[in-house]
Amino acid sequence: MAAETKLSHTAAMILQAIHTGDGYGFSVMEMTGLPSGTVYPAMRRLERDELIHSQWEKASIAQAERRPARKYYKLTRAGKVALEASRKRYPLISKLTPTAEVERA
Amino acid sequence: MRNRLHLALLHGAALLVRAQDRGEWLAEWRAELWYVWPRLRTRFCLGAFGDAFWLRRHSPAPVRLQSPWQCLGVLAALAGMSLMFAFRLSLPREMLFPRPLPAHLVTISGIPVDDYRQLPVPAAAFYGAAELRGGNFTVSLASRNLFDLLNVPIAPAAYPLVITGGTWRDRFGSDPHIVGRTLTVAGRPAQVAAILADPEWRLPGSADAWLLVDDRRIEVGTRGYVLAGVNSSKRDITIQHSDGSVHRFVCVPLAAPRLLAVLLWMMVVSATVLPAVTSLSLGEYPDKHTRRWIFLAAKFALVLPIVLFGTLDVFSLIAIHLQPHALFVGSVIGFRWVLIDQRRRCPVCLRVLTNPTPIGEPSRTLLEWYGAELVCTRGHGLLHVPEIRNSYSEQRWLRLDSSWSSLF
Repeated sequence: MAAETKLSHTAAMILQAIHTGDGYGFSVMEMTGLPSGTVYPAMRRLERDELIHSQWEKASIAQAERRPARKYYKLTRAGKVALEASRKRYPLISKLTPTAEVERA
Repeated sequence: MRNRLHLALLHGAALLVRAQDRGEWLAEWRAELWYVWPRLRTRFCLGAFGDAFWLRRHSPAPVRLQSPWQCLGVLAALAGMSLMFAFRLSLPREMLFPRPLPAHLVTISGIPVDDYRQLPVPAAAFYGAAELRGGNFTVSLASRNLFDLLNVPIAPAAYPLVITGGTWRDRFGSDPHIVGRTLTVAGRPAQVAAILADPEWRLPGSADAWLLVDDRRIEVGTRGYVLAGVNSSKRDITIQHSDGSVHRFVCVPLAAPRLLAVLLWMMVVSATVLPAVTSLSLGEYPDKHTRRWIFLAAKFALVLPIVLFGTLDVFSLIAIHLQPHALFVGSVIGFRWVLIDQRRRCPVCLRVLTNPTPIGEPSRTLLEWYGAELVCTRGHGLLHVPEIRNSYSEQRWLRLDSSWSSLF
């Protein structure tokens, strides 16, 4: 995708959340406040456009911590460029910062 | 229990995802679900449907369905499976083919038991208005031969109790071992002898169950309903009492429900909704393609039993009262798919067109052509699909002549 491609505000928020947060789907939901039905399709779209890429966590790490392995998303080089451009367009998205997990099942 | 519900939601949504992507998709959602706070889990899982729909919309058509023969084969297999299950599962079978009703059965409402005993008919059974309580459902006292007249088999018992399908589901949690169990009705033990299937002809009244007793045990003065076999031409029955008074009762024929006709009618109604969910136009094609119309008709003919029997099968197992709604929605979805699938096929070889290429720019919609082009992999032509359909820009087929054959 070209560097000057304009992202929607939602896509820019999700990119920012992936970049500054933990990089898995639920952390993006927590940071952006968007529902799962918006976040996951948007991440698929970003991955299809090669702005992010995903990778499964090593099973041994998850097993050691007695939890299921997560799929982590990271920004690609094109994604970082697109995020930089989006920050200029939507300055407030830079204020998105991760929140601590306070509760779990 | 709630965990199972959430996993069931995820598995349900996963059915929308292509088989080759399903495993990883489900693994990601299941892993994420583990981390989600319990109070947010249901909403989280419902969002999975949005994700699955997105993936489905942006996935290429399954290879198996690209060829017209294989598409028809898959549809025929699905139709055959749903039909087979409809015949094997008892409830759909009874709904489609209700037991033959004995000829000339009528019901008479609001008749006192004293008049019932004087009815000049060869066979009749009485049941009172629901007046007894059996736990949390209402029971009416009925003649022992009530269900013999309806050809419903009853397990032998001293005090047989026949319950409706709704009572069985709602009050007894669809307990499969309920027949034979002893319940207390108005302080007396009664044995459940049969469950009246939902599609069974509905008897008038509001009883949830019928306790079968000898007619003599029904108290004088009780009002209720009579089921009687009468001469076909009889519209009413008159009783002449010894004191000279005459009571006349109207007979209402008890007809077996024509469920199949009702369901087919519902599908016709759902077809009228179709223009609201998709365009009915199949595009402009310069040549006549009879095969194309035969293929369309064959798909409709196969989708019809898939939706009809599939809905009967699935919803008879999970929520029978939602069957009409599911049939309506299923018909709309099925018919919509038939039209969409038809539009994206080559009119010559009927294979699914591939390689969608965006053409033009959205900002020039009014001045230039803007949309997508799809190509037939066998070189029969190109399909122009406008992004915005209007009176001068319809889906258009461009036939490629033999000079293009070297490209394919």
